[in-house]
Amino acid sequence: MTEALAAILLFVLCIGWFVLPLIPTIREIRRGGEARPLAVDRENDGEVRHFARRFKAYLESNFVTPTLRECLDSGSDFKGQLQDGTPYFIADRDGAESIQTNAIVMFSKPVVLSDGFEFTQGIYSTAHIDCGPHSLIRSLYGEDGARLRERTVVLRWLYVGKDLVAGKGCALYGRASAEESMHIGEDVEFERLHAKRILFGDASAGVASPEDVPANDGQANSRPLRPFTCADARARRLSANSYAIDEDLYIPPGTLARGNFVVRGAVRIGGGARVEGSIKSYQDMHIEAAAVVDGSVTSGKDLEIGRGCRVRGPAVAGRRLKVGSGCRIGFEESPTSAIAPSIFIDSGVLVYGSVWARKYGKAGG
Amino acid sequence: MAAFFIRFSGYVVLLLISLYAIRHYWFTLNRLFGFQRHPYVDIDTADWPHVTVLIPAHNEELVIAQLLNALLEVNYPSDRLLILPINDRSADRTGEIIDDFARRYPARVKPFHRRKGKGGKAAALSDAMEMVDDEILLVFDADYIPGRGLIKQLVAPFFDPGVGAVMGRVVPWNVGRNTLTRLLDLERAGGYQVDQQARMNLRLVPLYGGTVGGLRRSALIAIGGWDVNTLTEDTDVTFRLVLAGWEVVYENRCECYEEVPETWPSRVRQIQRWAKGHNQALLHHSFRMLKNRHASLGQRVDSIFLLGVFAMPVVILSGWLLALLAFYIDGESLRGAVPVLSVSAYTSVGNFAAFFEIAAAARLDGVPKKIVLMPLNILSFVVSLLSVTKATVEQMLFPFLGRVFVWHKTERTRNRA
Repeated sequence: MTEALAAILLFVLCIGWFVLPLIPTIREIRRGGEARPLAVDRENDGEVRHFARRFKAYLESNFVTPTLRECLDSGSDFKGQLQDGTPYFIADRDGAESIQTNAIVMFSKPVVLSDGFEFTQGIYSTAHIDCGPHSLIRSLYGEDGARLRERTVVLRWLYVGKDLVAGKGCALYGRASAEESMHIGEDVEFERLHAKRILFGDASAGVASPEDVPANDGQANSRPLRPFTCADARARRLSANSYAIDEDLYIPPGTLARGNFVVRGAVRIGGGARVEGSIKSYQDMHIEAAAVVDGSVTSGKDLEIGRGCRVRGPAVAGRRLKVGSGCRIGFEESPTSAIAPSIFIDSGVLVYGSVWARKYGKAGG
Repeated sequence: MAAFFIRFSGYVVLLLISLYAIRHYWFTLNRLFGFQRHPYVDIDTADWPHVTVLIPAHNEELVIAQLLNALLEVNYPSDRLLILPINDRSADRTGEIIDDFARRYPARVKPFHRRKGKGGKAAALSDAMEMVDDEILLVFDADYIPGRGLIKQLVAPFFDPGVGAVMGRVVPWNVGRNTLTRLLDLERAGGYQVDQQARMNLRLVPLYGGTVGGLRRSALIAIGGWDVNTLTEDTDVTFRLVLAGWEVVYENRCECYEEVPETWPSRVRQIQRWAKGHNQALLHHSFRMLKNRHASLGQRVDSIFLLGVFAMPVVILSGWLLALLAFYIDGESLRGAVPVLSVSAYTSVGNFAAFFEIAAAARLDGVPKKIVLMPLNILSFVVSLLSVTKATVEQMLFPFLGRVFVWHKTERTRNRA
């Protein structure tokens, strides 16, 4: 081998050695297999009914001729398999006891189920459904209302077109939504709830009524509220209507604080006081009984709302949210959200809108 | 003496680069294993406030209709959403297209035709403010395509009275156009999915990016409005808000498609404008940030790193030069520093997300195969390094040359309307 040949060989080897790790790159550039924009679900708008709507669309896509509605009305094709092999079963009231629970079960008439059914697939019902105690339901889509008796567990999601009543000790995992009202019984565990009205408390009476929670319009105290001045709190102005406070803030009972407050320390709002604006604490916030906040409340850690308070919302806590009995969060005409990793809500609380416990939510007993 | 100077400067450069590298490792580890903070993402039900969407548009006939159509389809209450396209001295059909939308949707689209005045986005936004009455204003560049739920997601943080600005995530849509767009896709992923979200998690200072974001009008007024003399009004506003005590938050799930530059000259002009604007902000705000009593120590220190991102390429090139000098002048003075400099530089440069940030972002996005393009990122890195250094040096010389900054608009390439 001549020196020149050896040099060329060495050069080629070096180039080859350098190019070797680039082979996957070169292949990818040529093929463009991953040359796609990141998939952004532009249609998913975070809607609480997202899974419910997809489930219904999935069912309807499997019943073209006859349609799902025709099948349910006529009782034809009452048993079979969907295109992906999932079994389905159309039940009626008379056959409730012989329901095939390992299939997607559909009801076309009002039904009252006995104890302990375990539905390993979804339920679709066009009429009111009353699930017996200790039932286990993967998911439920009800065009009408639904009642879950004691200790029923919903594993994935639940949607009803009218009212939902969840009895004592039920567990609602995932998203639960009702177009009208929800009545969440004592000791119910939940994650995400949404309805026009959500009433927490003894659900044995049935559908929730706003009258069950007395309204606090901030005028319960007949004496006029004393103005709370920012000089009291050593606040500095952030903007025309917003103030920053670098220490703890205490708004005394029976006072009226106007503006938005951003507080580095802890916040305590005295009983019967009123905040005409929003308030944020980077630490804990405690709102004492019968106070009113006409805006949002945000706490970096724990947020405790005492008995009989009213909060326009949203109410957001970084760690734990506790709501005392007789509270109202949101309004009928302006629903809102109550959000925290852990939420504990006493009986007799009324929320208009959404309650979202990221880790654990429990209705008090 | 020369050897001492080289040695001292070399170690200063090494220290700076190492600090940036540590910061990037910290962010990446936080993003992969730390607590992820998304405090407002679950606010889906609320009494949504009135909002104005500002769209600065200078010769945007290729893309403006797409954005307006997308905004008309969002799920925000239509009676509370005003779309305000700013036809900023356009010489093409931009004004005509905007007027057509205004004719068809008179209650929802209110055009603002700006026929004269200073160039640049900040100047256009500043002039348009006289038409804004709403407390919340969102800003979109004309090449963006928001999804249905994006406006609610961007508005939700403003229920927190301490939030002055919100930033969403930018996702390139024209990824498959060529190698440059693919590299920019990687860089954007690292920058947003890891860097911005980590700053949010760690309660540092996420950057308001001037598009796919929003501002509280009263906060903007309180800090003196838009500064028309800056090239990056977004960075400037971010730091003026933080200095005044407002919070800037990042919403990683507010994803919005954008068009990234498809040619290298366009990319070079874009990054040079960013560099000059960022360096302006470094000059104006860094010392004030360090002294800011309202910010935490972490925020103060990280702000300096963030503001210094576009100064780092100059530092890195200086480091390489010093290492070379040391080798020829005094072989002992920077012993071992040459390989450290050459390797560590690539792992530490800020805006051009470090390679492990890109890898982490690809994993978090569920597209791990994208990292096979990583070796080519060196190309993008070198181009950025040289472009930013040139821009910075020019910037330092401008006062002596009597030249002024010129706003270079990013070119659009495709009519998707």
